[in-house]
Amino acid sequence: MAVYDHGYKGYDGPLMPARSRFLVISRYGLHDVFASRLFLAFFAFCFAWPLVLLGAMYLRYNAEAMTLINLDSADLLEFVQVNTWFFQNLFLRVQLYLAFIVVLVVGPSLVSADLRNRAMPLYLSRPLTRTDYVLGKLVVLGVLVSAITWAPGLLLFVIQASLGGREWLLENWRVAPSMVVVSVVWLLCMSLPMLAIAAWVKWKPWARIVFMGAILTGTAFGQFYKEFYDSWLGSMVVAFDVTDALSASVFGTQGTVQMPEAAAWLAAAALASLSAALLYRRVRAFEVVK
Amino acid sequence: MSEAAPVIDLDGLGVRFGRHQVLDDLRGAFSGRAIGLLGPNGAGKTTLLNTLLGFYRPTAGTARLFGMDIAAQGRELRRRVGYMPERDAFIAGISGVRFVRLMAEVSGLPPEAALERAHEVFFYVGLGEARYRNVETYSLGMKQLLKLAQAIAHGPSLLFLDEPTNGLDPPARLRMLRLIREIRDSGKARIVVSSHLLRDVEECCEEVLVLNRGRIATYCNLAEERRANRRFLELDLAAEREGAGSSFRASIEGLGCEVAVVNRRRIKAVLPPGVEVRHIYASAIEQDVTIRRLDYKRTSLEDIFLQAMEGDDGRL
Repeated sequence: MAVYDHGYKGYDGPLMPARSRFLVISRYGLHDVFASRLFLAFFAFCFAWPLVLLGAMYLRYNAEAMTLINLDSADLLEFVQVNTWFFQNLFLRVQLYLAFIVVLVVGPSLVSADLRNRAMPLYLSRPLTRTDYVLGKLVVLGVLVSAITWAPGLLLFVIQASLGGREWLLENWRVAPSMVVVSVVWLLCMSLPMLAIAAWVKWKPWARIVFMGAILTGTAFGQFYKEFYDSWLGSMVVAFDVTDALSASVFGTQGTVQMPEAAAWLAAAALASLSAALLYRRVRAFEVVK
Repeated sequence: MSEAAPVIDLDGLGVRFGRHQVLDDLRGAFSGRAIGLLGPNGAGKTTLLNTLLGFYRPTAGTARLFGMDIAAQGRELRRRVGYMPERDAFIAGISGVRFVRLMAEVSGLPPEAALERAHEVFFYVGLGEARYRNVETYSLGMKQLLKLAQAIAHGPSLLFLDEPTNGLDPPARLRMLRLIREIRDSGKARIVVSSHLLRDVEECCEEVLVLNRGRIATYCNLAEERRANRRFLELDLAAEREGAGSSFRASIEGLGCEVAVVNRRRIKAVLPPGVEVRHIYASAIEQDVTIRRLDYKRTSLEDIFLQAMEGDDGRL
């Protein structure tokens, strides 16, 4: 069926493997996300802070460079202690805030338009399951969030390990897997609710408002509960408290939130499961009205 | 996938939404190149298509496409199926060719082949010049053609078309029907057309399944019906002499025709195999009878449809 041959012909050529079919959705999703110059600029900005930290790490181990820029080595050594705290709070916490903005901006555009324009029957009439579809969209957020959280974190970790030597590595080896685990758990706990809300609301601005509203309402209610009843139970609905408690649990540090580790994990698992169920319920070819 | 197996094989298929039985005990095997699904609104045509596509789970029985079970081999089947939905369906914010390419890639085509096919189908359906335009800017008729393009981009063996001429003006409707007939005649894909427009189904389908209230009201093989209609004749006579009509009737009865007399000047006849219309004319000359009018029986799809709608519980 070449363009000059206006007759119908079938297709007998090779086919891509079915298992990786969901990656087609991810590839197109990423392409569309980066089509926006504004987002591209913001995404580039997300690497600014890791670059600053990289510079500080370099200077810390390069007395000659510090002399050149008239910096007191003692002050810098005191200020930049490259340890678990550095990676957990100075690096990852900041990057997770940026990742939150990425999820808020990109998440709704991934599914709401498909549902609003009734594209689901087109996807699902092909060899693609609902799980493939959700996975394909989740990979888009996964790639973006990973690119600004654990991926540069690991790079910083490797550079620091090469500068700090074997002793530093033995002392801080737990940092590397902890950054990955916290980032992935955070990704699931933020992306799934965002996608679920977008699937139900079907309109990008409203989805963002509802998501922010849910987080702010949870935070306000949780803080009120904590103050009024003097109980950590309120932290179960405060996203940032749960993130802090989880991060402390994974990195093995003392958290700022008085909340049992198990409760934080339970809250995260409940949020992700509920969101996945809501999302899965909405992602179907046609609504069945019983 | 067995090409010798029926295109659609329904085996007691039933679908229930809550307390509402939408499809009930559908049975039959259909093998035509183009199968029409007819029925009034709410008859279950779209539900049947959606069930065959795996969107709804059967609550009773099963169905097979090309011998493959829709429940057990759904994924493999959907690789070979193209679907044009009734309502507007597209992916916002991308050009037409990118949309069709995405759909082809999701069906399994490698990126380069998908891009090539996307361009080809755009020219095939007559939207070649509009392929770089954003799909939201397409007119209703263009969106219908776009839906057809995405349905055929991956070269399916079976094409489900749900109300393909909905909202089209007469020239666009004719173009759509021509494309469907072309695809049918290419022999590369079997087609299932769901429509409430009898004319559309009559123009492109060989077999017709009429649904009413979730049940099969009637089945009609249009090709056979058309062939059979060619054997039924209605003749208006003008006799030159007394008794010529009777002798003419006896003469064609002698040829083996079944004859029924409507009145003195009009008779109906069924031609047996081997007897052609020229033999009738020859008898008329012999018997000195003038045939003023000779017509074939015309049972239209509308007659079949209306007859099917009279009874509620018709089955195959």
